[in-house]
Amino acid sequence: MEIEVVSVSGLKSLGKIHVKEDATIRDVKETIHKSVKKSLYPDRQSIKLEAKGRSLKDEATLKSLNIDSNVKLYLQDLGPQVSWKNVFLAEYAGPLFVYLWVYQRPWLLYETDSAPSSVATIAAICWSVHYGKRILETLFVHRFSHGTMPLRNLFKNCSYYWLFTLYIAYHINHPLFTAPCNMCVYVGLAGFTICELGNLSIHILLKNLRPPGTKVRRIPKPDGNPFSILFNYVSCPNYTYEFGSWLFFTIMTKCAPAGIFAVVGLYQMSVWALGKHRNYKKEFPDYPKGRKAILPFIL
Amino acid sequence: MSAKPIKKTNSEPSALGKIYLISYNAIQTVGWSYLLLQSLTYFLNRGTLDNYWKEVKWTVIIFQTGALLEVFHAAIRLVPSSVIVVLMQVYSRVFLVFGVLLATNGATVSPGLPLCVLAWSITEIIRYAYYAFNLLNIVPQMLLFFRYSTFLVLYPLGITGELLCMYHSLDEISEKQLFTISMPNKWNFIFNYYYFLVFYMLLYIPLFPVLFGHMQKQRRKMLGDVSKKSA
Repeated sequence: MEIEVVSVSGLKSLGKIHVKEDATIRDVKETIHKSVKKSLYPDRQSIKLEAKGRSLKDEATLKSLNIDSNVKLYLQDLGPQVSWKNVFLAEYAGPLFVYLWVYQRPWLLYETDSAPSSVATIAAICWSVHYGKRILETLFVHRFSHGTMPLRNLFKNCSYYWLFTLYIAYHINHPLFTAPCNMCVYVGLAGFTICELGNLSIHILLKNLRPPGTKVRRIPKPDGNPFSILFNYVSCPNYTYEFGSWLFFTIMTKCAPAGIFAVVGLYQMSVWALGKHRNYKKEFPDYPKGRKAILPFIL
Repeated sequence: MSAKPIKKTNSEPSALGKIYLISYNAIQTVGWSYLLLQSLTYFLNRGTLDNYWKEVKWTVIIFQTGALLEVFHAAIRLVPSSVIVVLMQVYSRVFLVFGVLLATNGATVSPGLPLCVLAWSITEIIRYAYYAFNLLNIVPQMLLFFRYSTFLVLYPLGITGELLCMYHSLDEISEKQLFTISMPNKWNFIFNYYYFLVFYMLLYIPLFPVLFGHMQKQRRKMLGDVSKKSA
């Protein structure tokens, strides 16, 4: 059948497209890419039933949405897109390289020849493990439900990670850095390790929750892994462990900038966790009560 | 940016809210008019830069700090403005007063001070008067025109004044290490106010076209329908 496509900006008609009766929104996007505007690859398009309406999902069939030749489809250009995978890789590679560069005490930042303190070395190892782990997870563990995000997010996100890395690394590797007491270092290092393992195990649990190639969603529950017990108390224990890592890192280094990073991260993750928690409750009527979003018993 | 909340079609403040806002805007209009009067009188009487701040200091403190209430008004949705936007606008002014003018002597004898006080006072008189009349639904055409036109001159003048004040405070800040913490210290924290202020001044460069452009857009919107231009 033939359907008219109208652009959201300017409300201009872009022409008509030919699609099969059983086509999905994804098929519509492919057709638009091929025959209407070659620069608009499918990930860059948002198809709606009204100019200011919600975006229609790729998997939805035209039939299920009662779309026939009489209905107009509105097309929005989402701007240049970049895949989530590539964004994550750029975001996490930066902190790894920047921190290790600052650890070398480059002449550009410091005027010193002294060797790094033991705490600075431990901190550098922890930092590298954290971001190395994140890169490996991006490559081998995570499955992304949205393919892409707008390009401007890449700059925003990279700035956040890279600049914070510079800020924290500058203080910890400073020649006048004062190490905290040994107990702080041990407790911090132990706590950091536990939280890193916890975070990793939750990511793996979540990966196994979703069969490959699908976008299905199930209620996550504790499995044999002891770290997953947190699921009894929060919807997003991966974020809980992430905050834990940075909290213990701050204790280990007694560095205020690291503390600031931990708090800012907690704020952002809380916003995400509250959103996910709300979605879980809406989607699953039998969602366990008594679970909080990110901090057990608190938030 | 953040998602926009669905606006109610008629989010007018209550009668009590209106009375409060009209009073607030009226008091501010009077306050900034007084500041302008003080300044003009001072310089017409051949006052010099040396004692200017002493003359206007308290007027500036009272009425500029009072503007913090506007953040509160936005937060409780008494006015439709976005909290973040109001916060940014008020913050830059309050920061200049407390972080630069009250903290150093250099800034207070800078030629930037009368420049920004002049720009601020004229802008605020027009702005608060406009709000007050708007609440009474009787905005004079001339006032609307001023509100959306004087910024073209006053905004660049104002930020030049602000930047000059900041520039003239730098030496003193560096000398006295004001608001500055260096290492070693228990929490391994460094804050260098001098570099912070330089960075803050540099921020004006990218932010000026954004904010100025936004006001130009507002101008076209509010004054544009006179010439029946299409978007």
